[in-house]
Amino acid sequence: MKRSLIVLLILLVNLATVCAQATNATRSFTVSGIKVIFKPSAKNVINVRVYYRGGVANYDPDKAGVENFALQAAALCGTPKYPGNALRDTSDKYDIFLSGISSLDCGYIQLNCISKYFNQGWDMFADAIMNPAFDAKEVQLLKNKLVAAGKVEQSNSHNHLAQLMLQNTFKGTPYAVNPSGTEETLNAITIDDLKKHYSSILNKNRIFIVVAGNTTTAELSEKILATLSNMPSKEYSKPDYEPPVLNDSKLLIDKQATSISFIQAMANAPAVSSPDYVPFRLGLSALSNNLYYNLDTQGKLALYPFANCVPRLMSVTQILFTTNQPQEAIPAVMKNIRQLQKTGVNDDWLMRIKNSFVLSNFIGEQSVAGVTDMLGMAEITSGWQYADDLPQLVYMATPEQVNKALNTYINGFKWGYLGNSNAMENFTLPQF
Amino acid sequence: MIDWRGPDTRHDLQSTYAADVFSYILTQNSSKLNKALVQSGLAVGTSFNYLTVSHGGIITFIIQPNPQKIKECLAEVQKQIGLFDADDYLTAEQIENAKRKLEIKQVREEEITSNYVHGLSFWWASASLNYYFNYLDNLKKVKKIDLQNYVRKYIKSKPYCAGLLINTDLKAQLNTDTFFKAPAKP
Repeated sequence: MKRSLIVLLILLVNLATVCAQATNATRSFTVSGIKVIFKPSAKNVINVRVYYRGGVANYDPDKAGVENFALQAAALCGTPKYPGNALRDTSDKYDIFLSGISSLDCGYIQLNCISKYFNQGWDMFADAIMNPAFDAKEVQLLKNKLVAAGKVEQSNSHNHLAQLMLQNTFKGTPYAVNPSGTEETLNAITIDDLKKHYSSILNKNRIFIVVAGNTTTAELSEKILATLSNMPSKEYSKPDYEPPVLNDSKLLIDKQATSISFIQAMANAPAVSSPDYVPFRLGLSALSNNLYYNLDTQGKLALYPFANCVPRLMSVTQILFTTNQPQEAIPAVMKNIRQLQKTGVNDDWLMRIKNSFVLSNFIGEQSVAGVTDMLGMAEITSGWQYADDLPQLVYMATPEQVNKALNTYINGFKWGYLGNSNAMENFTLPQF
Repeated sequence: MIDWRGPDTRHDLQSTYAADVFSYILTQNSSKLNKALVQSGLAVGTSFNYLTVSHGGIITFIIQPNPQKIKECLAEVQKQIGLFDADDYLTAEQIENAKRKLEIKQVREEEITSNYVHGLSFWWASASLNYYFNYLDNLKKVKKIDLQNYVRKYIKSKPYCAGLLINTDLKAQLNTDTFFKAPAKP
């Protein structure tokens, strides 16, 4: 009898766990033609993002920055119901954060507030999406801030080099356009440009909504139906890119009077939807470990070298480090890559990488904003399920898959150097 | 940046609550400070912060002046500091908003577990766990007169340390040494 009770108790506990997991599982549904991805959470903070697909594919290079400007203006410059100061005062009152941004593959308008004031937050958020005012005075103030922010961004050597590398590696593709724009393009953007651009991307078939927080499918459906159902519905096709093939070694030098050298390298990477993607990311973690150990702690050749794979519609491998011995550090990085491609990872090493990878992923998911970010980017690059399935995919990867992926996709590098030109005098880049 | 020596939890626990409320009023869009500096175009942005610690809390006022109006901006900053304890400088609504924002801040701090443990240990080291757990109740007791007394005790006409970070060309062009300098001793 006692044993039966224990078995029953265990069954009930397991059932409760399964139910709790099912209740908190990510789900996707459609409301009035708008795709919604919802991850319930017991946290008292709610995060909502309306994503606009396309990013830099949505405008011509001479309008660089227009989408980022338009989404920030929609989120921050007010509506007829909440003019600029009313918007900011209400945000202050309930500690509601609205923001907008656009990058290479997509843009979004984001709401972050606590559950208690979700109604107030949603009202402002939905109004910003549907009725942005693009008030002249507010837009001008924002333009000044964007131009100033651009200067700050470019004054950071890492950012400057990263932008230069994107422009060169992805020359001839939309990725060569800086989504933040330049001082010249931002100053040329008019209110009419903002209105036209925003109107072109406000489309039920282009957008999707990601929500994480303590709410329900019913509450969300009701809110979306009441506030966003009048959004236009137009035909839309996602961008279909052909990534450039990087199978040789090239060096780009940007001479600047810096006391240390900044170096970045880019190589090909599998698409996020490819079965090679997760094994490849694990392989790059192994490479990061080796680079840090051999070049930083042992060789003293580079500071914080690391390698990662940037998940985009055109994914790319990047390696970054700073050094005061660039002529020695670059060949040393190449040697480390070739060595790893040759020897690969073993079961023990891979398991340690997997554990660290999954832990980092869980840490990133602690905040509801982290959850919507991961789900949103996964939906843009492959499908939202990828974000949910990541821990399982990581544990399924084998050393053979990792080693094969490293050898398949890394066949050449585009190198970028920013620093004192004397440090690179007479340097010949070894072929990979 | 202007820094004042503020209250600490060893000597003046009560003023630490007023310090938080006051900082959260000045950073509101509707504050007189924001209107005088940011909305007027004299500054791109401002922040006002107080860090609760056990030994010598610091009050930090950061101003990002409009590069074209640095002199006017700094003059307005001094004018505003002189008004901080005026009867009409803070409204009842701003005080309530500040308290609500601080309450929400505490909810937000609980969101990320790995950060929350750091927060708890910070409060344990800076004051006590009871300080943290009773924080909101004590915050609710703060009145306008407490805020004015805090300003008079720690900010207005009190010693401060100020710094200006500016590029060399603009410094020479504006001759900042003529207006960014320590006031004459009384």
